[in-house]
Amino acid sequence: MGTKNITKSKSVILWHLLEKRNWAILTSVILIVTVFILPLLLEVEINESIIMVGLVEIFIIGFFSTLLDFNYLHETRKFGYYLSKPYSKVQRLNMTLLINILFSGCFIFVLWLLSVAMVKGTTQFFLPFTGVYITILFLIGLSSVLSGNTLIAAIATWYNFAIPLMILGVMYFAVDILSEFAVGFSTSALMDYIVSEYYRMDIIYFEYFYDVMHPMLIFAYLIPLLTGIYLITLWALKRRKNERIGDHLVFRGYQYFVAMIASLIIPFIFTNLMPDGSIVTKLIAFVLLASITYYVAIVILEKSFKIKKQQMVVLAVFLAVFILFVLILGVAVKQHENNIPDREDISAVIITNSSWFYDPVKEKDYQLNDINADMGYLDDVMVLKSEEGINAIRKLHQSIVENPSYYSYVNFNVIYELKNGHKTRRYFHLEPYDSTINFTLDEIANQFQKIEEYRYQRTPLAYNEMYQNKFVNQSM
Amino acid sequence: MIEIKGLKKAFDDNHVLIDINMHVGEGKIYGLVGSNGCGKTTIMKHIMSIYAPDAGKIMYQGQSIFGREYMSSIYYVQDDLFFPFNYTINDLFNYEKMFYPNASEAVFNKLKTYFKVDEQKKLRTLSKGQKRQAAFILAIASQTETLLLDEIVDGLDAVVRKKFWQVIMSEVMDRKLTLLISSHALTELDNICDQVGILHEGKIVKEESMEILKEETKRIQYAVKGDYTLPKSDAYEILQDKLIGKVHFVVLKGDADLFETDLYELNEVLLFEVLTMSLEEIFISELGGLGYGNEEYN
Repeated sequence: MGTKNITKSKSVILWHLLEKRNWAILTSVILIVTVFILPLLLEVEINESIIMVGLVEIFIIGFFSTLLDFNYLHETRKFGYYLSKPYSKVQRLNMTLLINILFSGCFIFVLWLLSVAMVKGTTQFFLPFTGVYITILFLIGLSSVLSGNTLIAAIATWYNFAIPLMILGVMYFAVDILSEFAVGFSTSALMDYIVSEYYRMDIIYFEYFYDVMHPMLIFAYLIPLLTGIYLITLWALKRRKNERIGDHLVFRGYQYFVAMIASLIIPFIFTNLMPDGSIVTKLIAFVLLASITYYVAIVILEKSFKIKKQQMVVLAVFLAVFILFVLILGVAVKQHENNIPDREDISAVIITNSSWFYDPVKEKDYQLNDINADMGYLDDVMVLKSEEGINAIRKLHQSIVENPSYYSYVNFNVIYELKNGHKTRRYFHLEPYDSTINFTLDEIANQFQKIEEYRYQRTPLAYNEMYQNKFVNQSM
Repeated sequence: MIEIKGLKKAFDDNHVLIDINMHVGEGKIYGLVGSNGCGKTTIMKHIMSIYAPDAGKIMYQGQSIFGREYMSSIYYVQDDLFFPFNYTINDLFNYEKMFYPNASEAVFNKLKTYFKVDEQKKLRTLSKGQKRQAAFILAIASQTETLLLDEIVDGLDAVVRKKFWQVIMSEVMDRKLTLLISSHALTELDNICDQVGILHEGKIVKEESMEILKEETKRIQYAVKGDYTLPKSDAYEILQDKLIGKVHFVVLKGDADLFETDLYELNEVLLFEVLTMSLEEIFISELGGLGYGNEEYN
């Protein structure tokens, strides 16, 4: 029985693979024209860009070919026909993926051979490209199972591909609201940290692998990624409500997910365009925009202007959970950010209003998280280690926590370097708020002028001998 | 052969199947009849695992239809036909041969000749009737032990329909084919079905062998002199009672002999005649008893 099944599977795969001959002819013609004939006519050598064009063509053709092969999931008649055959849903899914991977794989391989033979040194983007490409093919499979029509499956593929990016947007939005709660809290600082340390977008989207050329690394990432997508697809396939074929989305849960993500992304975009407002204004704007976006998303997905009670409950619960999450996080962050480290714990303080730094001597650039008090001179970085310098910063911090309202717009970062080796960072954004302007800040700022190390760094031409020498040398 | 127990299915808030219980015997022809939109196609799609039930069990040869091994024993022709793009009937037969181990080239060729199908033509270019013939040929040529035919004869001319029934009868007699067929052509089903399931609003309101069904429900016409009293008893149920001129027409379920005795006791009977009902009449009277199609048009 098992051998019979394998033979049958092989025959079916071979049959469908042979059906790809028209697609293969089309792809071959396009590649021959664009990669061989046109460069020949234009007397241009086959270079990296031409190979890339060929890969993009394979990508586009493969995308549509796979999408159309999964079309049986979106037509009642077609679905009824294929599913009534003794060839399971899972077998058909596997076969469709396999055929399209083989189909595109052959052309990618031919281009790779060409690249090796004619354009030495261009082969490094083949592996990351193939990684992205296979991921997209798997996502087409998943999106086709989740969707009830092919056009929506195409959109859902890119939507699913962009989910990590959208989650980043949602995180940024939540954190941005937090910045209204806590003086000294920096949205960009936290997000930069998260993105560089934990939520590695460069790895998620394969950008990292263009720089780090190691096939094993790509496989180490690609295999669990594809396994994950495949397992979700299998799970969805088994629970699919096939009677909903023809609807935009077959799964209610996925429909809510799409509507909820949209209801966060749109307010995020709009609140970024809006002038700064208070936390209450921001939250009201968020609730209004999120509700409207959710409703519009549901109308589009359900193809009906009627909204069901369950859909409203989902929105209400979702908004309540999101706001509660932001508020709880806000209180926690506020407690942390308002906390000024004890004097005896601090070894140095760094002040800067940049987030990117360049060291002309080492010809290297740094992010805010990379710098420390012992790095030597960097433009726009002030390092205070003296008793009076550290105390002045702590006094400034305390004063801003009590009242961040100032008559002009000022942004700057303060990094406390602690004796235990840790760093704690604050971001201050001063502007005229409704509360009374904090003129004490001017007094504290004036006190800085009396601190020697501040003067030394602030006006190096007057106080820093090394800087003077450099300036004189450059003038000569 | 096919056993359905407590099958339930709802499409959102719309309950399409409500506790369906059905039994299709081996080597029998089972006619699934019912009002429009009553759930015939939905039942077939459940048997083919195209839809997943909300509750209930479907068994094929005593086994739950969980795996798909049984699928190579059943061929399903859906109401809304589909043929792969650009396939001729020969292409499709060659494709389907991979799935049905008993598929017969000889039967396929014989049927092509019998129905005079143009094997050069792409299936998508055929007329509705020709497409149905092609689907029917492929179904029979697969030589599966069970066929599910959904509205297969709808839209066909009388000659082709006759050919269809001839082939079906021949297959049933030759190789014990089990057939589940849904159709609105009740007169034709009347002649070939062994069993009938009458479906209405998602429920099987009647499932019986054709023989018992016809024995159980009768049409009686009689005339009485003078005052008329309609007999009543637990042994029979009067589904319909109409007076046309001086003749009473009664559709009766149950003991017709007792009804005759009671009628003679209560009335001076001038004329009494018991008639066998056709499937169509039984269908109308069964659904009429449930309030379906009783509206009068003035």
